[in-house]
Amino acid sequence: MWNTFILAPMVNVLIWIYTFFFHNFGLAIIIFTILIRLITYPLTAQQLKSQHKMQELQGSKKWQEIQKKYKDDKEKLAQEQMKIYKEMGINPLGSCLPLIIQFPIMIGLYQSISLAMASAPIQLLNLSRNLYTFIPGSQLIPLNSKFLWMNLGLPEISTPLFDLFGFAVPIMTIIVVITTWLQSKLMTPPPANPGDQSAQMSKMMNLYMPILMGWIAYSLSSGLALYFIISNVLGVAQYAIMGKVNWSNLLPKRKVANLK
Amino acid sequence: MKSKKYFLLITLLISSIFISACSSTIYSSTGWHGLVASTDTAYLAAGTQIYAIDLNTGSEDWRYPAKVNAKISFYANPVLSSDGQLIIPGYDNSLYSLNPATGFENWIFTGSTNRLVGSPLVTQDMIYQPSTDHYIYAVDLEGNQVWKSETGGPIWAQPANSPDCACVYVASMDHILYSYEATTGRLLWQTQDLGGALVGTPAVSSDGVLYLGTFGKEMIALDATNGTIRWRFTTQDWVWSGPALVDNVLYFGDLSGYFYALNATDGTSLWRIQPQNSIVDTPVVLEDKIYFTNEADTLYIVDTTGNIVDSKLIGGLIYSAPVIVGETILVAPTNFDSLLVALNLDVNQKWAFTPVKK
Repeated sequence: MWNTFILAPMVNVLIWIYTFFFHNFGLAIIIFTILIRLITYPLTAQQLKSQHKMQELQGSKKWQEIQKKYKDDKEKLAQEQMKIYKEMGINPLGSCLPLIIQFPIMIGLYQSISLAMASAPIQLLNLSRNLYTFIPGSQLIPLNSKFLWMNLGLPEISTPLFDLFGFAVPIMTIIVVITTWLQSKLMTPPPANPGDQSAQMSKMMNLYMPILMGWIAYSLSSGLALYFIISNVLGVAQYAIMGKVNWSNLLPKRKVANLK
Repeated sequence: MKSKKYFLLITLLISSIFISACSSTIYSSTGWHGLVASTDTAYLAAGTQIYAIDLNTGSEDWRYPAKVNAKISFYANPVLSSDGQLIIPGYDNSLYSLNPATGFENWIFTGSTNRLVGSPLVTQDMIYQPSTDHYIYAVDLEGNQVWKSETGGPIWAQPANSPDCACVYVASMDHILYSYEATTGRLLWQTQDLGGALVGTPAVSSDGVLYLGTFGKEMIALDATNGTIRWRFTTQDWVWSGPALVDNVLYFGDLSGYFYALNATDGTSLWRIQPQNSIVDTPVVLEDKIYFTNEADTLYIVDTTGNIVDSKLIGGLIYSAPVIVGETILVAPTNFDSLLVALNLDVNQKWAFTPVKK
């Protein structure tokens, strides 16, 4: 099921792109990422819409009132919140969906890169079984896995650009961490109530997500790190074109003294 | 609020561990077992360890390394040298020489910059080790590099040579076969693009012909003195292994599960059968019988006219060729409890080796 609907189509599309772009797998990953971003564009737009509706809702008087009114009755509060969601046509999970969809793409892409790079016999045997008939596998294999200083099928530290004090410097990992942090910062709308739970949660996500993505980029194939970087940059560009990037989030905020 | 923070942190940690675990599974299931045997001991390269197994009893003599090191793994067929070394390539880019009697290290060659997938060719005075870093390394029997030469792609195939030529034939995944001078590594000649990756060891005939299978769905015969093509035979699917050459007949299988017998002189088909599932490794010919395994889990024995004389369901997945020592057939299945199964020539099981957890 996974192989038929996710892995095989992904690996074949990647290899098909590879045939058109100078037999360069790095370029194939970049083009593939752009395609994924275009395909998931309606979801991204939906996420943004939901996020803004939610933002408006949380700043509304009605919302504040029910928070106060049912602060000691969590069950009733949840019921009332759901009622308001329904009235305003908001799906509370709407902003999570694109994130959830990213995971199978990420896992599928990682497996596709490993499969396409076929750096060991069983992977190559599996690749031979997953190639569609229109892919000229016999002529293409082995695929050129070199891109810049990396072997895209292996973690970046196996072929580092340079060492510092005897340690391989994971440049791609560092860029993944920075771009993920930038993306989260630029795409998070200013919270309606900075002190509430959801604002705290998004603050935590902005902190932990770059670390998680950095760890994945460090430990898995460098092709996946390339995907993360391109995806992050495209994400910011997409939001900028839609006029939704909060550049002010990058500036340090002054703390307002609580005089009460 | 604090508990939510911890929940989020733990969820992220679990996700990262889960994804890393996925990756390690993919990395570990990368090859099938390698096998070689002397008259009394089988040496099995089974992932993280090499096992020396007594051929009479199926019991373990030693294992290397004594404690599993996840960074080291072995899948290629080990090779026994004439001066009493067990040579084993590793996925950690290193070539190991062990004492076959004790499993102690003699030396480790670390010149390769990428994993070693293929077995070395070991002669009286030299080891020719192919590497996925595109180089063929010539190493003396003390583990010192003598020369290295570059091809255009990763090399998985065990190199070949012939007594009539002071050369080494290297089949590379760049679709090209190279001939190097054995003592210096100087390129003597190379073929044109043969239409597909080459991962099987070429067979060399006494009258100077090289035979090799390709991923271009062909078996090709080349002149061993200059690499010109003598004939090409089209197969149903990719040919992974090199052929067995006996009495001017070539025997080999392809990934669609066809098993072929060709006239080595002109490449005409004598017969073919399809016992099902991919045939990956080279068959073994003993007297008038041909022994080969297929991925399904079965050892087949056919006669020289293509009739299946016998078969034995082993279990697991079988990619490695059988090894025959005296009256014992050894089969090394992958993804199976027993790493090695020994059979009599009438295919009754003698013993099965399952390593004891230490």
